[in-house]
Amino acid sequence: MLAQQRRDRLLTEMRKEGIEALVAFGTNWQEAYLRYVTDFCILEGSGIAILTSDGQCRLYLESVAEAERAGAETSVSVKLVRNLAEAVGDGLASISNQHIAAAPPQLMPSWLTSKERKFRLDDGTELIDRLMMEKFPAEIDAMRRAAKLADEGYSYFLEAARSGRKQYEVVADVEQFLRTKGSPDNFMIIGSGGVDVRGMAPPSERRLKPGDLVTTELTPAVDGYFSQICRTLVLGKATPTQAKAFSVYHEAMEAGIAVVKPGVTAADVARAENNVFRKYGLGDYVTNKYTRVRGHGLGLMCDLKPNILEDVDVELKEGMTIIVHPNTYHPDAGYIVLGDMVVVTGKGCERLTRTPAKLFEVAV
Amino acid sequence: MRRGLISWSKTELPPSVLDARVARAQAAMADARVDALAIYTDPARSGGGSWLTGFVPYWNRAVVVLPRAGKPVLYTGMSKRVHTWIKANAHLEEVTYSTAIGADVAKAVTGNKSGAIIAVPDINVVPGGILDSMSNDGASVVDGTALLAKLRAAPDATELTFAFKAANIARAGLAKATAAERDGATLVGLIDGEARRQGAEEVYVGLAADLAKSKALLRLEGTVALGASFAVRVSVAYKGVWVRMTRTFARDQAQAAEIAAATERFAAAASMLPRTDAMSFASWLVEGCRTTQPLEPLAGSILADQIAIAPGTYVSVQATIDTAKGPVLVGAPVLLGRGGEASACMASPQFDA
Repeated sequence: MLAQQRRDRLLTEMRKEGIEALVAFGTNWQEAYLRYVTDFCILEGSGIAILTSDGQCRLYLESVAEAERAGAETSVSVKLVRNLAEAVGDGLASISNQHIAAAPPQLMPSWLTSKERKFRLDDGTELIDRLMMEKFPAEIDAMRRAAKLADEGYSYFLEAARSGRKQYEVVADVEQFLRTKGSPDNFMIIGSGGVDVRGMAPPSERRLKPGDLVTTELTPAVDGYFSQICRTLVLGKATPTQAKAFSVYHEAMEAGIAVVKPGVTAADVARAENNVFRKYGLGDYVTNKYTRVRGHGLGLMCDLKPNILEDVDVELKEGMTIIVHPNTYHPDAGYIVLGDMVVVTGKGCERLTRTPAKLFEVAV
Repeated sequence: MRRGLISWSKTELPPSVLDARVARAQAAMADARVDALAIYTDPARSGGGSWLTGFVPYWNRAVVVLPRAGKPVLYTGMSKRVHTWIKANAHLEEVTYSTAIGADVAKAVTGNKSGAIIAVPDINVVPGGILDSMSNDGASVVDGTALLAKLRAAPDATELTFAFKAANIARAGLAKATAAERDGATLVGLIDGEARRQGAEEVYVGLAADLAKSKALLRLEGTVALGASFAVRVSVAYKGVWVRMTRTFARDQAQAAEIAAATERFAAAASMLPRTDAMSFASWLVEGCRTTQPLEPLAGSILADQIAIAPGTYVSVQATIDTAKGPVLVGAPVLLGRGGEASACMASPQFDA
């Protein structure tokens, strides 16, 4: 249902722009374009789909396991191939003189984008990016369900994050919880420790210990749509320094969310967050030396446009879903995260994640 | 995306092991008159970069560049903030942040030698956004697939140890499940969670929830009621090494006995590898990591062209075996014997009923 709605919307836009075929690439860490076109979430190898304006879609895959799965999980025609680029090239041969767009062209195998080919792949990334950003109601409903699961996942994380446990054991417990709830995928990184911790990463063998700040970004998927929550906990009682530091992040996140409405830009949101840090003399810590982005879009991937940064002028529109997260390093406390998902509504925004925006204290 | 354990233990993977791989690669590069080996790596093509450096990208993409002399250098779009993490988990000379990876690789390589030759494994799948500019500054780019495949044809003891560990993790995950389980999501959660707690870097679980209806191993979204007979395939990565294992479950005791018998037949056929004539099953597949793709299809009943399987290496084998009581899906990683030795499953595919 969702997949058909997405494809119908894409076909309408393709016809409007005179695009005869859209070629979508996907791989494990860049799966959204392929999923938008085929509804297949690729895990192994690479995949490329050709969607023609008459609605026909063929998916080329190089993994036997993935081809068998795609044949059963999707309604598109699936072809197992050894040489992905040449097989797709063959598929484009009969329409080589027509308008063909690719998303994203820079990830396509070089052979396909070579000037030696009879066909030319124009950049169709912006078209799908726009569709992925401006979601229709059924997509927002999936985001809402994913946000609810993110809240439940964080409650479980609070139970799992015990002193003496290794980071990867905690993550394993949360992953099991999410699978049991029917979520096939999750993006999750973690950090633990004190002022020495500068960010989050995949889980290590480090054991949690009393006094640690434990940070996580938890991002489960429901029906292919990812929602994210960022929270920080303390193992034990928060020190006055930790509590004071956290209050800056809380103020910054609320300031960012307060400005979200149609017509403002991603830069406006980032500036609102960053101004809070500057007010407290922490302006250095909102630069790329300490932080990547001040939030970002989510949907069919856990990190979509727009990036919430002061130099991104993407205008927010009704139906966009973003996380506002002023995550960064604090010189007195270490790395702290806090972030909530919001959907842009007609007049402002609605918060999708409901977990209290506080510094959690876990008894040791 | 990876969210399991990623950690470089120098006890498990001593720097000397990686240094030896680098030395072998550089000797092969000299023989082939290649000035640099540039291995593209991302979460789906992590095999080559992790073999040479231990680096596994949990996100994003990178190119590992090995010059004719010296240690490998990583060019990546991952932000500078995570470079400390990368350096702590990989054996690299340096990590270079780049928004134009191909061009920066060409610049660095040609800076040492004009007209330098760069060998790129799996060149057919390297993104144009990287490969096209790698021939800037007068560099020549050639296909390095055969070069890397030759280097990796005989895994060293450390790589085999990781493969055995991955096999044991896969088995431990599957051992958590029972035929009595009725809910698909609970089953998948049990296997996934156990594998991660055992140290898996990544886990994919495929489920054929009711073999009376379908043999396709699917990624479960939501949940499903399990049939009287069902099958699970678990794909596990440990420190960059991937294996798969498949198990069929049946609540009926007679059918469980058929599964055990079919599994014996599978193990017997696997012991004959690299000969595949004993694979007289409804379908079968052999996968392995020759270059950069962790589980590349090498040979199988639906593959038109077969890639030679080298003795001494390890592969993941799976088969569908038809029995009077229904299909049995079975699979295990297999270590291939050398010089006439029998091959053997690296973890037993036989479980108690």
